[in-house]
Amino acid sequence: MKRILLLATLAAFPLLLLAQVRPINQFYRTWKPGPEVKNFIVPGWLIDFAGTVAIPFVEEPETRAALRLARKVGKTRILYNEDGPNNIPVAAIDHMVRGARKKGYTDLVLVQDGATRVHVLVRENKNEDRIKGLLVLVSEEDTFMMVSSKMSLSYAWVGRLVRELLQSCGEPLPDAITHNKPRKAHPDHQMHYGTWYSFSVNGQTFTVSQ
Amino acid sequence: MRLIALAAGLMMSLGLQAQSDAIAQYFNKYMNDDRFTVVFVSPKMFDMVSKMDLHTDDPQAQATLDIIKDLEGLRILTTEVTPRKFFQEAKAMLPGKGYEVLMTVRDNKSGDNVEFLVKEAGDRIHELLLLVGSSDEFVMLSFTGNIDLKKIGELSKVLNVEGAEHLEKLEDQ
Repeated sequence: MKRILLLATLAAFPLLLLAQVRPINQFYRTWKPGPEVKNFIVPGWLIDFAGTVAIPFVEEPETRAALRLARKVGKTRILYNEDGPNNIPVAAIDHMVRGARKKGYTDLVLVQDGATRVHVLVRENKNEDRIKGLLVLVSEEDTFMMVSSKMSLSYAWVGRLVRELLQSCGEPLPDAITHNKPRKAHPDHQMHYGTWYSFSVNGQTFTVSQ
Repeated sequence: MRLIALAAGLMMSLGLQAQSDAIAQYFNKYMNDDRFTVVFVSPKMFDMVSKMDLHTDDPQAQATLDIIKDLEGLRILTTEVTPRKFFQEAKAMLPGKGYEVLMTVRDNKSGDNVEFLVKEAGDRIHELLLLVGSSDEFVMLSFTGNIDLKKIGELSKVLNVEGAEHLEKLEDQ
């Protein structure tokens, strides 16, 4: 009996996760078949792979930071309507936003200029120390775009990224955050593995033994 | 007696809530109006910035970050359509809502008006409200949080909103 209950709970868990973003799911499924609507899903592993491949070929620090940030983004759904008139009613968008708020999304920024509107919402984890979901809505007279992403982005990591970006732009980091201090070899390790060397490349510290 | 005190406290808190919601109500009234440019930065955004623990050696940038860490919200409402009418409407909404006039600047030639109002919570300024009514534009700018008038002028350099340059006048208050 216990095993059955445990299996049922494990099977229901993914459904619970889906239920947390049901308003967004329903909105996506409802409007994606529209004649002037483009939609696609980008898996998280593809974003991670693209970022990993691209970073070595990019020199600008801001672009590198953006690619490192992108690698933290998981599965992303995009709904895009550009070619025709904006046939997704504002009432439907507002209904979806209200539903998302009930499921844990919080308004972050709203900017509206005439008919152009940009609305960003986020969902945090229980400890409120990382972002679990991002919802971006952009609408104009004849354009609408929704980007819904899953992620696991900690504020501490973002802060560290910004500090490293400032360093690469010429501002020195405070001493407490420097990562390039060479490691001292442990006496036991030295006895077994010989001499240790450490060096840094692009802020990453490597240690090899001889 | 306890019930009366409890009821009085409840009514007072509801009254205060009504006062603090006056600006929010006015903002929400025109938030979806195409005639207005709207900017809303939620308390969550400022909370996230403070959690990121950002530091920089640039004194000016660090001063701006320090101000942002003490903020809890930002609302901006601007329009170029009948600006003086909206300025008078916003001013008429404020009496009895807990706002005190800090400074008024009026240009007799152009008829432009700039008003700074504050709402205090205890011994600190909880909200700073800037109203600009000129022939060209109406601006309502509301900061909430732990406001330092001597430092808030730094934000005018990063906000890039017409009317925000008046914030620098507060440094002398």
